[in-house]
Amino acid sequence: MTIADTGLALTLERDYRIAPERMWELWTTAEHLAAWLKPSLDRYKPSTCEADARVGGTYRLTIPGVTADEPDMTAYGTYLELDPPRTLRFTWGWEDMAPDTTEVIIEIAPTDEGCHLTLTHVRLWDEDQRARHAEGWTGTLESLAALYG
Amino acid sequence: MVYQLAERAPEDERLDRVFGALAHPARRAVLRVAATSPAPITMSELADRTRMSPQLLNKHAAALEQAGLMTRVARGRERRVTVDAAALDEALDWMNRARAFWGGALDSLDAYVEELDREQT
Repeated sequence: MTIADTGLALTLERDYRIAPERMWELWTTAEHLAAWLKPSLDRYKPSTCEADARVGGTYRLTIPGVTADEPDMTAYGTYLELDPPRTLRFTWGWEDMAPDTTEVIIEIAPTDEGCHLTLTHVRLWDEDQRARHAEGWTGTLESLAALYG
Repeated sequence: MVYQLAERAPEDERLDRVFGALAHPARRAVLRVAATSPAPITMSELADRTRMSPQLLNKHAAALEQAGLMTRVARGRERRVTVDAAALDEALDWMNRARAFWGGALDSLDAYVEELDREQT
């Protein structure tokens, strides 16, 4: 039963040729986040970002629309956990569209070439469900898709 | 390009119900068996296949039905179950948009790391 084991969450993993400490900087510095945290580097105008990377601190990242009729999008949230250069956890929402009730977990592990990054985006509902499913929401879209595959 | 979680409250509420219903392993088992059955499965077959008592199955089936994920239809003496793909598709769509956003962001991170490398050398 793959679905029972994995629950509902989004996990992406990548290898990078930079040290974990450097990767940590790219995730926790406003200047770096404004430079790269967007769907594509070429097509987007410069973002603006404020990030107060400490537990309870907040971030706000505004990604301008690619075309004039496309609205700016602002991601925002609060830092929940910082364990440099290993684990970063923060809430994630889109201003005026989706409250920051979802959570993103970044895990950085050292490798011979640099580091391995695991990004998990979890959907949390209310506190009650959160407590009942404290085991954690791990899993993948593929396992949900497999239901129909 | 940036994914939108939910612009309208009804969609949001529906998604909450769908995700809430899917948040239970027994209900995912019910849905998996029902969805992979070539023809609408009867409630008694479904109880057999999921090793659940008819009472427990009824409870889970009602929750899935409320979330719009499946429907129980009486045919003669049997009740058969059909799975509604649309509700699940909406949940999948939500996940897909998040995946597209983060996939793009990690590609950007790749490119950015290379950019920084070039600047240093």
